[in-house]
This record gives sequence, C-alpha cells and structure tokens, in this order.
Amino acid sequence: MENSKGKAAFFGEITASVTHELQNVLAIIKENSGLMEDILLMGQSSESELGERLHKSLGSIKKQVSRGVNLTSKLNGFSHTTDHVEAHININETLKRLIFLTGRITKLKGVEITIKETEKQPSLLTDPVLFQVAAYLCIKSLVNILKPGAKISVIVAGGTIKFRCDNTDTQENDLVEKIISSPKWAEINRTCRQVDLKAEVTTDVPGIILTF
Amino acid sequence: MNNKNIKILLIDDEAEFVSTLAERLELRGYSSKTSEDGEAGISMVESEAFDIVILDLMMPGLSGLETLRQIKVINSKIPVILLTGHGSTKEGMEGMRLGAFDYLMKPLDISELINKISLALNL
Repeated sequence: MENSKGKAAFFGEITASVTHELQNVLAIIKENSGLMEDILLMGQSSESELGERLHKSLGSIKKQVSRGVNLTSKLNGFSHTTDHVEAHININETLKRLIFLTGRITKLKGVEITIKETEKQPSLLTDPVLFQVAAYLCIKSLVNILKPGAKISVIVAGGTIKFRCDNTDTQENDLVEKIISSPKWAEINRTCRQVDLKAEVTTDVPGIILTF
Repeated sequence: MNNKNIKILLIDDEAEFVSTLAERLELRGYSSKTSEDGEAGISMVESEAFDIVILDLMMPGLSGLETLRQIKVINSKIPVILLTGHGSTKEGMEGMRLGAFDYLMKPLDISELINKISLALNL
C-alpha cells in the first residue's frame, strides 16, 4: 500500500512539473504567433523590419516546439517505465531522463544538477519505477537541504551512483547531519531496500551514495 | 489616462514569454518593462513608479507569492495580476487573499489581459 502510494506520488510530482513546463512552451508559442498576427494586422512596420520581426518570432516558435517535443518524448519514455515490474535498465539513460524531467523542480530551488557519465552503459535488473523513486528521493532530499546556487553532480561508476553536492556553502559534517535528519532519509532507505540498493551518506563525497 | 501613460511591469522567469508579451503590449500603446525574477522585480517597484504589475506565480528563487507580499509592502495600492498554470488555481486564490487584483491562466488570452488591466485601473 505504502509502496504504491509512493509510486503514485512520484508520478504525480513529475507529471505536474512537466505539464507546467509544457504550459510555458505553449504560452510562448501562443504569444509569438499572436505577435506575428499583431504585426501583420497593424501594418506599421517597413518591409525589412517586418521580415526581421517575423523571423525572430518564427525562430522562437521553432525553439519552443523543439522544447515541447523533447519534454513529451521524455515524458513518454518515463511513462513506459511502468510497463514491467522488473526490467534491465540503462542506468545513465534512466537517470538522465529523470534529471531532465525534474529540471523545473531543481530550478525552482536554484540548484543545478548534472550527470557525469564515467562508465559505458551500466545496466541493472530492477523495478524501474522504484529505482527512479529512490533516485528522485535522493535528489529531492538534497535539493530541499541545499541553498540556491548549489550544484549536484550525479556520477555513475564502479557499481555506485553518487549524488555529490558542490558549492554548498555548508560544512561537510553539517551537510551529512542534515541529510540523515531529513524526513526523506528513512524513505530513501526503505525504497532502496526494496530494489537491493544500499544508501549511504559520507563526508568524502559529500552527499548520498547508492550502491547497486 | 491613455495607454501610453500606463506603465506595466512584467515579472516572469520565462524570458521569451515575458519579452514577447511586452512587445505585444507596446504595440497596443502601453509602456512595459520586464524582469525575469522576483528580487529584480521588487527592486524595480522600489525605484520606479508602475501603474500595474503582471506577475508569474511559479518562479525560481523568490516565489511569486513572496514577490507579491513584498511588492504590497512597498506599494499596497499597486494592482497585481497573477499568472498561473492550469491546475494552480489554489495559488491564484491565495494570491488574491494577499491582495492581488486577479489571476489569469497561461497560455494567456491577450484581450482578456487587456480587459483585466482596464478593470484594475478603472479605465
């Protein structure tokens, strides 16, 4: 019960964030097409100015369509991770998509997150949804603790996934204390146990390490 | 008051959205300035006289609601129209409780925005 509640909450948060992004994409396309219509209707521009303004708006529309297509294709891939209870996942690709889809959540907190791929296509036989829930909980717990301007690097190497915090403006010991005492820490451990991941916090990284 | 004398401040972190909306308002004769975050928007309200503020609720850094609170501390009379996404009406209602004039959903309808501006400024 708790498991399915956690999965549903995870999908709800990601979907809400991505649909908000898509609303912004559509809003920009709508404003630009409206601007083109305004310019043509008002007919005040000279021919060269008209061409330049229309060209600028068309460029913006094309850019937003591409942003929208990227969001929907990633969201589509994400929704298909529910297809199988257990499957071989490409860890890098799964985390890259998750980081992309959670972009607005981290951006709202002023935290930058990047993935550093140091191993070729590491894969894992796991429950794809629970694996993503575990990774998302790690990201979310760090984002909630870190101050704006901080960075999280996700590094997949040597059978581990490291969520390393940089530019934190916080001492490593304090950061570890904050992670362990955060309400998400118990949830991270509970979820990790369900997919045979081991969650640890160290001052060396500093951040969270998942061992698979 | 004709449109040329109306100064609008637009605050939204989506740079292309806010610049295009400003251009459309200018084509209709309004004078508009833009800010891509709440803190910069608040500084602009402190240093310049605006007739109305159009403010996005979901922004990185200072949230839309916190930006609204601080704008109202600087100038309690300035009307603020909030922009929300569909499904965020709760935040829009909360904004109205904090003194916003009204809220509109994104993607915007420009004629609806103009109508709200006119209502807010008693034009």
